[in-house]
Amino acid sequence: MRRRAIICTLAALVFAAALTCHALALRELPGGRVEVLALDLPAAEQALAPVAAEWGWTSGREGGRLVILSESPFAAPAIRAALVGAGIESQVLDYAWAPAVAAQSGTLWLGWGAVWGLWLLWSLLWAQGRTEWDHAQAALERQYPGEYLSDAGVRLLAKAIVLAAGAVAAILALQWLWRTELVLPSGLLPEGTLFDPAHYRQWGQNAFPDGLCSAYGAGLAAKLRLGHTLAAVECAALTAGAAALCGIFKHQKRVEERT
Amino acid sequence: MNRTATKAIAVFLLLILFFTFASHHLDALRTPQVLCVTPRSGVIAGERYSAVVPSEAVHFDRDPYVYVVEDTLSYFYPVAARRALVRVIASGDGLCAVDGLYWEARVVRYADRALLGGTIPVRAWEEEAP
Repeated sequence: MRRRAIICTLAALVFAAALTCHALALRELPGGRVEVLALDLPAAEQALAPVAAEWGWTSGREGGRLVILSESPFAAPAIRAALVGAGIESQVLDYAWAPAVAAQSGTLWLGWGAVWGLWLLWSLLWAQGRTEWDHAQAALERQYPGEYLSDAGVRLLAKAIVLAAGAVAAILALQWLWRTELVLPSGLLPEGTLFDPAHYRQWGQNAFPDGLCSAYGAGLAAKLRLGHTLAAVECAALTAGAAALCGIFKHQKRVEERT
Repeated sequence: MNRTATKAIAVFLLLILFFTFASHHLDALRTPQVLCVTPRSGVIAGERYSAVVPSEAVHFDRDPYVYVVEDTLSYFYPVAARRALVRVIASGDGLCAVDGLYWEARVVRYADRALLGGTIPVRAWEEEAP
């Protein structure tokens, strides 16, 4: 019991520390952008001028590449279409998804925490339901139902109120889990099977190509790695804490049964 | 009912719940987001045409076609993009004059995932294309 309480406390401390580091890391989110690498940059800039005027972009040059600041998921397709239409060979690196994905890493623990919260609620409901059922079975062998209810009425009413509140919380949590929209970098999700490591390696190479990645791209990759590592630590701490709490509930139930 | 059977049923139901949620979110992530345009009257090479769309909206397989976004009666997939064959009358300056579309048709200009097939559930981007 003491060991489980210590695990719970440690998990809470690790979770708080990871959350604080995460909040500090996400104070500055990278802006979304699309980078164009082309041998003939002036021609590429000229080909993109009508698209830029249409969408209200201003393109700039940075380290031998064109940079268009945009968070629209259609910026890269529009740029690719314009360059292909003008017959210009180029490589388009789409980072328009960067701010949304980076910010999302800070909220992943909410979904995981909601799942564990629902599990704990269910465990509590099940344990208390079984306890009351066993009590009632034992009591009804010696008492009339009316007597039993007048003895146990207050306790049963309190548990019913907690059950109702828990049910509302569970419904809200399930609704939130259903309606939450996830954001993924463009091209990450494969068309076919999810379990294709080659696709993910290829995506990594396309999004952050070796030797062609800009300082922004390298910084973004580092920020995503840090953000998602911290998210994994937060989720692991939540799992450990929830499992320890489950153990504490079971221990308390055993103690109650013995007494 | 013995404890093992009860636990097994509980685990089974939880797994069903988990896979339902996972499937729903995966479905949403795999649904393409599309940016639409409506055919308007425009000028190509000095000639005026009544239905002109950007050339990236027109795809060429055996015959030219576009994807038209329409509402469906489905609860889970309320919007779908349907392949519609068109006839290209003229093209130039990044535009195509087409025939075979109704006036208020919402034609897919860009999609964030490849559109494959005759009818695909999509999510229409709320802002109109510039």
